[in-house]
Amino acid sequence: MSTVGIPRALLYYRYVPMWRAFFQALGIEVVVSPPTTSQTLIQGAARVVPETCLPAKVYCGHVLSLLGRVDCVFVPSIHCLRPGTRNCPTLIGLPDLVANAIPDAPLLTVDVETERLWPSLAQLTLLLGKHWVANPLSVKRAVEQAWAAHEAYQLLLLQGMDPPQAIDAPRGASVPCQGYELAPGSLTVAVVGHPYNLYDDYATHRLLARLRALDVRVRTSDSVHPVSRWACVEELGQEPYWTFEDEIVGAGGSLLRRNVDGLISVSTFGCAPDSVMLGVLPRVAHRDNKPYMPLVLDEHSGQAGLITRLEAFVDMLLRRKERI
Amino acid sequence: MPRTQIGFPRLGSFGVFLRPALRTLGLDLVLAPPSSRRTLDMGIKHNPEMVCAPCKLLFGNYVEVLEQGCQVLVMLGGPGTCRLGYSARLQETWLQQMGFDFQAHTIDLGHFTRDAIHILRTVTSASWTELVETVRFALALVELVDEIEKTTLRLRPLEWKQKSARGQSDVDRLHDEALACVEALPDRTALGAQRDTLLRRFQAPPVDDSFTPLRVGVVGDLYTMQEPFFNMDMERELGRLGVHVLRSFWFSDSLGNMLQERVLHRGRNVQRIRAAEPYLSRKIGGFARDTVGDAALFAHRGVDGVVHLAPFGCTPEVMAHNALLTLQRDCHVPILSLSFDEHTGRAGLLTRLEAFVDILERRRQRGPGPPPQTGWRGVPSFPLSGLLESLEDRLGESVATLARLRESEGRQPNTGSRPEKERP
Repeated sequence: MSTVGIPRALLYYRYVPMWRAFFQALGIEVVVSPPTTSQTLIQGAARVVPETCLPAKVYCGHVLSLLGRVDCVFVPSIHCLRPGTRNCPTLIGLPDLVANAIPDAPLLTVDVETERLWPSLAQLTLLLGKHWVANPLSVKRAVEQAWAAHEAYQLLLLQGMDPPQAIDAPRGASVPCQGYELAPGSLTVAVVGHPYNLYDDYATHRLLARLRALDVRVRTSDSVHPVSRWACVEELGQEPYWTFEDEIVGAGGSLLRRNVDGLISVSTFGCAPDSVMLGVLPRVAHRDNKPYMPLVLDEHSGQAGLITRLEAFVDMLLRRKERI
Repeated sequence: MPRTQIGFPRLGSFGVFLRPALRTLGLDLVLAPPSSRRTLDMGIKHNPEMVCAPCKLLFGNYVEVLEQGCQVLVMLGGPGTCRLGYSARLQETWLQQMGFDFQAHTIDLGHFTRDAIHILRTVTSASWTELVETVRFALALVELVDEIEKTTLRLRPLEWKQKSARGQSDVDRLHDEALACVEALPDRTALGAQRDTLLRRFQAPPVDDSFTPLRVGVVGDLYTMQEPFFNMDMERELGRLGVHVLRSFWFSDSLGNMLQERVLHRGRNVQRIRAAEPYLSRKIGGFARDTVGDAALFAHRGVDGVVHLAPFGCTPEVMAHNALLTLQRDCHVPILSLSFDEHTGRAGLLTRLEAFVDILERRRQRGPGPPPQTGWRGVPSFPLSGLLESLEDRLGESVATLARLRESEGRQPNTGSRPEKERP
């Protein structure tokens, strides 16, 4: 039986239940790399030029940690997922980046480009499945199972579960109703950002856990339905441009309109799409009269600075709430 | 009726051929004044902090153009996934919020001719025949301008060799004069008549035949390569160091040969993509694939070195840089990667260029031998292990001599390791 490795970085947090179900239905063993450590980052960063963004360095580290344990590493290239939008160059060129950084890594690549008629997603999965299974019908079954897993995962996310728990949740799990046990006067803060920035505990210094420890209810980008995220992007008077624009602009805009007390955006230093998208958020927050704090992460950011800023932000929100 | 004024940002010698071409259609080109500290400050003030410096400089250009009161503004968008495409839209709304009243058009740098014709169709009521004549005139102008620039780049190192001093450069003066003449050309017939006299004014300074300047290719992001304010006039500095600069991007290459590219599938652009294939096979946006392809083509042509220019934080160019590391290892061509932002200092750049040129000269003097042994990633590996071994040998010898000396003095020989304690 062959094994496929999936690095625990970048789009892992968005699609891994789907990929895992697909490969397992084809009878392939899936190995996920262990959570990020300082070694992962150091080893990954040593292989690429210093200007490369933090998530890409982490990704290379995860690929390195999979080498020797798997037959191949699954490195997809996602060009665009919505007609008219483009993805970040790093995500499109991910297989090229990994091939340049780690020349001896065996890669399994698929180019997802939904804007064109050919290749369609069905053809892509067939091509992918053909590595192991000759029968297209069994590939079709695998695709169906993969899609079911993805939908179950999305449902858990919308119920407010964090991706790391939702990924490992057993089938048919559900989230207990939450939010009512909060004391009156406690805060709700929206945290927007790409999933790989929000849920990598090493890179973010456990940002979400720290917020929760301050008695703050956290609502992330993933708890908003993609449809309303995209609706909000268009409502802000912008034609969608980036494939994951909804995770920042859309989620930020629609969460601000709900009952949140403040907005935090998490991005990494040198991220090209985020750098321009973050030009939109302060204006939206200003319009809705809500406080906004941008957090920019890189591999040098110290914990103390982050904690101080979080505490100050939460204190400010509390005073503001008392005053109103 | 006042003539329509079209505002255009700075991009190297871009305005030189646009102005006469637009004049034939009764349009005035308002070119942004040469970029300055003020341009940059304007961009920094109104743009998000982490946006790349070209975005900020372009925004400053737009403001300075609109201050001159033009009605139509042409904005530059990057090809494919470049944040210029996104920021151009945002910048348009910010400019409107600043109180400017204008009509904005965006040109995709990857499809310049197509978008330019589209804009001209909306701005003027010119007929197709007039438009075709304008485009032909523009293409002839582009070709002439590029010819002048090529001659300048070729002559600069020769002049340097002859004068070997930094003074007033005749070549630079001739270059500026020639471009001014081109800007004043009224139509295509005048261009045909004056073309040869213009080019003949450049005369190669007498240099002994043994001197062949170093050839260095320049690749990278279009704006950084073209805009002298942003790249600190790097081409001229390299010329003064005695280097024949080879540009990878010529407007005449990219504007004229659409037929050749799309239908016959030939031409420079196709070559580039093919050359980039082993290192960067996908169209990831920006100029990344062109950068890698051009560097590979330069390496095949046997240039002495390649300089890669990029704005700091440009994601496509970062990806290209990663690919260039592999290319450098495969093709044995030295690549100097420079990234620019709004804080880049001139002295640091000059030092790095001088050091690079020194390396290239040594490399050439060493002659065409086997390529140097490279360690991981093309970094020349220092023969460290050999050195350590010889050190150990010497140390061993001296330790042995010491031991002999001490023995002769009747002491315990010190072998370097701790003497074991006697057990009770």
